[in-house]
Amino acid sequence: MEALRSEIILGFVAAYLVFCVAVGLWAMRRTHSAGDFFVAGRSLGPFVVAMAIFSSTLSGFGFVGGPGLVYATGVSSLWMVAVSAIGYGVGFWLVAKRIRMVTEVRRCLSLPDVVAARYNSEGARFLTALTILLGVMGYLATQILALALVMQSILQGTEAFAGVSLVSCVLFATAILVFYSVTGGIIASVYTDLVQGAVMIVAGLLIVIVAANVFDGGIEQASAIVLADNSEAMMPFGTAGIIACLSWFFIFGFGLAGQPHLITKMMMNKRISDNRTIYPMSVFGYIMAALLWVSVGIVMRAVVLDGGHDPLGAPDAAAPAFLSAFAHPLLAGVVFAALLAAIMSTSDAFLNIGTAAVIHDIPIAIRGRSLDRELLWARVFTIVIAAVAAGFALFSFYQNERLVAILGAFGWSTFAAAIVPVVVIGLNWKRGTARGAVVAVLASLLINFGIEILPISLPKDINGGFLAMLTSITLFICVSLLDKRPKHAPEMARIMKI
Amino acid sequence: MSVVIPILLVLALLWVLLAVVAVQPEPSVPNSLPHPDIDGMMAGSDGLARLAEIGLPAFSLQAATLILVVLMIALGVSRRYRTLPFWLGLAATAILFLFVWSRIFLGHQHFLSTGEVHYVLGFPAPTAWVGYGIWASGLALLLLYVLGFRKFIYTHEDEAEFERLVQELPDGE
Repeated sequence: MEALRSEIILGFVAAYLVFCVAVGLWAMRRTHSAGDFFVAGRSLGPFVVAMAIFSSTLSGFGFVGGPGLVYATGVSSLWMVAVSAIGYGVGFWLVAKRIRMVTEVRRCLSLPDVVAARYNSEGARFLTALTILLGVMGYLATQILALALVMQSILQGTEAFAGVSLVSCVLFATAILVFYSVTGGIIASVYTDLVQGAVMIVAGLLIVIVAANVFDGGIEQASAIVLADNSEAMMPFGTAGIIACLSWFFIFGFGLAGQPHLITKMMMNKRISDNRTIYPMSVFGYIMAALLWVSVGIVMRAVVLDGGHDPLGAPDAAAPAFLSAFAHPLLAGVVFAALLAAIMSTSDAFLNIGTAAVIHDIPIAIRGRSLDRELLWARVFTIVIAAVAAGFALFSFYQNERLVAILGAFGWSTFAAAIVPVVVIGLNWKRGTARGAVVAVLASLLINFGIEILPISLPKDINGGFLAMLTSITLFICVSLLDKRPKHAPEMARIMKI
Repeated sequence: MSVVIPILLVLALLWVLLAVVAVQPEPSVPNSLPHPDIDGMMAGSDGLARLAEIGLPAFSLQAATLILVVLMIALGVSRRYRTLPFWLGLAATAILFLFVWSRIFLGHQHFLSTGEVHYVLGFPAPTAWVGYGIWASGLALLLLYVLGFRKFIYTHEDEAEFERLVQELPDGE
């Protein structure tokens, strides 16, 4: 079986991609309107929503970048993972109930719709949509590039596709992603998320078992090897240091509730009372899948330090190298399928919210109504956004690495800094005003973009995203308190009371 | 009093603590260095030296962040449901948060001063507190939500009120 390792992995991956196409075709028959395309007609059951929320959280970064970070910096990045249970808590306590209510009462199709309804402000809608669009382009480009690189590494392992180019892989990966996202919209997205989430949980659990058996003394022996080499790498703040870790705690703890591709899923459940079961299922799924992040990184660092494996060419090779060296070919097949699942489940969510920003939110903010024939344009712009992001990905890879990095800066921390005050606090605080929301979003964009572009470095490893988020939350509250008390539409006032 | 006022006070405290961290003298050693033998790996430098100046403000910064989490959670509950049982549950969660954080920080300090290592479920104890402890304290928040869902998140009265609101919409659903 070992001789057929590459073919077995390819078989698992091919089966997974065929499944995605089939779901796209199935969901096409259930997608009759823009409401179906963007919020699945608010008809999803709790299990589907829970799996969609957690699988969208854990992108390719969790399966490749995460183990790579642990390999390179020790346990520092454990802070990003460990805080997830608190992050989901902030999301469910503060967002899940009211965002679902506003969605139903104001027939919202997107997060900027919710923002416009809450603040009665087209300016706030426009800025939220613009932030989402900028963030989506950066995130999506990095995800498509990661997807293509993983596909290329799988295909190059086989004799038949040994010479496959990166361009071909980008085209093929984007085509599959676009196919099910265009045909089935968010319905295809969440039902593929369901299987993607299940694959990720299975992969996470199995990998932990394998990792625990690499050394006779289990994970403890691996920890001891890392600690003996450099104690700080294995101690709670890793090599990145205490301030970097605490910054990540803040950004990932509060910021998870500000990720539009996650909280949009909270608009789709059939009953608000389902949140009581969605929340634990989401946390459980995330923790199971994230076990891979920690265990693979520590074991690979220990194995290399112990002389059991050559040093890796790059930290991101930690997970693939672990699979090649220690995983049975069948397990490697499952994990590679899980890796594609992690990337694609995040990408399809970004495609959906990016398309909503272009064809629904920005037109409404500018001319008072969305595009005519929304469903048709939604499908067209899903293709356009994916094509532009794929172009960015290729251009970045071959010409200018900074491009995706700059766009990527409009990723997690910009979403967090812009959306946490406006949505997470704003939905729970009647005194929050439109002016406060606009100032908070602008501050988030300026600080995150400024730190990325200008030669600014913050002292003591203080993270720029942390600074941006602290600033935007503070400004939102202060500007709102200094502003006139807002008047809410009657139905919004009633929702804010519940 | 609106819970936003204490939130604003904690935010102000965070700004002060961040400023204190920022103006501390640079540690005598860099935070981390490339690993001496293996390309692509980093190694942490002297733990005592890099915490000497910023240890206490960093400890306070995280304690303030944890209190901010708890206050934000309170913001998510309607004022009429912020009853004594709710506050007691939240206070217990806050104590758990702070206990876990103190175990992480003080456990690391103890290791730096003595070199003693105890392993808990595969990790040195302070690191195990990061993984298992923070996850567990997040689960306390989850437990409070699940158990209190019909008491202070979305009561049956809330559900009835929301259904009335939906039925009153102009073209009802």
